[in-house]
Amino acid sequence: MTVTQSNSQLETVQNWLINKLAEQLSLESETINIIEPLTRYGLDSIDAVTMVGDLEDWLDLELPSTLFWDYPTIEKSSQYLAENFDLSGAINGDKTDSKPAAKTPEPVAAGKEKTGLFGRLMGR
Amino acid sequence: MLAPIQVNTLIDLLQLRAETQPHQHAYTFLIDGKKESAPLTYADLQRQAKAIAATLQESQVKGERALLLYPQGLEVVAAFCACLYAGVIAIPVPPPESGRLKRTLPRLRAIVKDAQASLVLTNGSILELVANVEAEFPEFAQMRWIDTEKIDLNLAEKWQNPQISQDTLAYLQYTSGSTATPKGVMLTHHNLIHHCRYLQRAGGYNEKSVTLTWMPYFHDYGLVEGIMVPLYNGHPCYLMSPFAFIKRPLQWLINITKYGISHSQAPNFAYDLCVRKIKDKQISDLDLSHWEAAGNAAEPINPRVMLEFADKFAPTGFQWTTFAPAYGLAEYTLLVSNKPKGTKPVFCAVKSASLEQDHVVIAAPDQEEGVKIIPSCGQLVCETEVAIVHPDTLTRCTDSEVGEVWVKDQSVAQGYWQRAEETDKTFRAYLKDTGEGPFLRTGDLGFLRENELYINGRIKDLIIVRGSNHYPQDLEWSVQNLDPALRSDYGAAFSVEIDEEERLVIVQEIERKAENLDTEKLIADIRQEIAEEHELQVYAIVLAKPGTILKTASGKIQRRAIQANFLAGKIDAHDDWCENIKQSLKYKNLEQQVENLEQQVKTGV
Repeated sequence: MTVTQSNSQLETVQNWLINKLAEQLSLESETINIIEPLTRYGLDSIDAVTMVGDLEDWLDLELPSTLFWDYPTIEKSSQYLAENFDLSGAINGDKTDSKPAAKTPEPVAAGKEKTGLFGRLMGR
Repeated sequence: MLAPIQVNTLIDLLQLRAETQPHQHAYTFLIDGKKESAPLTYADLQRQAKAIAATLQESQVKGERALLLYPQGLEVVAAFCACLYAGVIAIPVPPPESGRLKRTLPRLRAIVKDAQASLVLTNGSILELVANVEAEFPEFAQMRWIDTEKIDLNLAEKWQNPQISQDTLAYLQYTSGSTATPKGVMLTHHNLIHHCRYLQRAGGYNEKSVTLTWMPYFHDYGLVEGIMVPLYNGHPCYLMSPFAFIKRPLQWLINITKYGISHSQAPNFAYDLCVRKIKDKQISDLDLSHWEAAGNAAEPINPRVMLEFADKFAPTGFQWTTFAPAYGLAEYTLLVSNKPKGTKPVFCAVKSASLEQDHVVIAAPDQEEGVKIIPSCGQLVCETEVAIVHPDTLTRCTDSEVGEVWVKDQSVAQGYWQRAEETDKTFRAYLKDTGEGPFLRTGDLGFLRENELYINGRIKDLIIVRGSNHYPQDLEWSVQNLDPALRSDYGAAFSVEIDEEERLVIVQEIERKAENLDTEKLIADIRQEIAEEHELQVYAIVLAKPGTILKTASGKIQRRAIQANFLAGKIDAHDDWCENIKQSLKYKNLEQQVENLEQQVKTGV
């Protein structure tokens, strides 16, 4: 692997993490600094482990649940990933998955929808 | 139908299992949620329990307290049984983990002090982890640490029956109380056996039942229904780690498919996680048609999540009747109510305005607005008695009133470990007019209607997020320790309901004399501290001016009144932040200003 290749991989992982964190916590991705601890943005333990699962899906790798406690910033965790795993397959394979999916479901105006909800609950 | 087992202690129970069905599969752990460990039979489990108990018995241990610090797995099941076999009171607690020591250790230390625990049962890797921080926690050094992985199983022969009775304490459950004043719920052998007998009936278990649980052993839902009910019934139990579930929610459902699971339980958030994380294309191989009871308790139930889950997993054969909403608390061993197997979940639509007055007025079927849908938590478990009581007058409510849920049964625990006053207040309540009692006061609000128990809010200052209980005092204290500008004793942590989910809000006063305030940094510091120390996401933070934090004459923080002011946008703030920017006070003020300007422009023209 050449230096530029590994740099671009590192960057891809970093961008993925930035987008994922922004999605998870409803933040603007521009406000995320890769050297700040993830907890700075309010990431709790359940979301931290959830993010490891998403990362596994994307990279098609098995990763420790404690990844973001052991490497608590985007800079550190992406470095750890780049140094310890061969990411070329997943990343160069141009997986379309790298962009996080939109958050589900849209909140709907409360009153109207609720009777619908009750009807749906009782109709089962 | 399974028959109730006539035993007095858990020693008798496991002995019976080991004698009558020694080679039957008792427990299997799924490593990383996937790979099966060697199955543990009842004979194996008893041998391990006896060997560990014999090791404990090398010194005088009867009645001593022992912490259980383990990763989720078979070791902790054996260690729990071993405590009972030695007449030692077990304390199942969350194990310390590298990278999360900041949260786990202070609480552990407080529990050690409160319970005066002298023993720790654990494994090699946790021993090593704690050895690194030993200097900071001198009380750990005074305890006897036992690595149960290293115990010679031949020691089992040396075990001596401790001659206990059904009234002997079996374990302390520390899910109640703040870190500063943790409260250990005292449960006897009888509490546990009696309650398992109840759950056998109420949960609809039979000869073919198979359990899977990823709820942790230190959570009452995991320990009692997940781990002990299978032992009581004599049916197989599969365990997986909570991390394995959270990392890959699909794995829970794969295992339910693979092992033909009939009973598996989880809090509301877990069903939500499945809906959000599992992709439609991953569903095709799942078969959830044999899942009979999907227990849903430990935090408020969101009916919308139930619907989404049932819709999404309909192709797997998941039945609407499989959902088993339930309500319980550690002070009652586990469940007060649950939905009978095979029946449809029940809901009621109540007028929101009436609920605000603690009245239950059922809405017209076609009423579209101002309605709150409340899921029933099922019917009272077996002979459980419940009274709905005015928390102030201590008299019974009418059928159409919301009141505090009081419970009476042999499932009620013995009290809080060495807290006589709190035990009296919580466990020995009597109705003022009739003198009926003693009742356990749950601190939860609800009502009974057509034999269904509905829970709607609580009077205790408790925040429940994702099945974990958090005490406001702990959160407030963490915040105020961050910076001298954050005024001590003048903060309030409370929850608000956002999209039918409980979310945390922090309102904190700033010192009058504070200079050079960097409010943005303070807000980020608070978010980080709460995430690291309490593993919670904050929904909104308000840095408020003095006069915001209301107190009673005796100096108690009036969290409910502050919550009402927050919801009404009536707080004078230096700065604030909200996850949903449109809900922040800043944004609302700006909106107001724009509106005013528009008005001026209009009237000007």
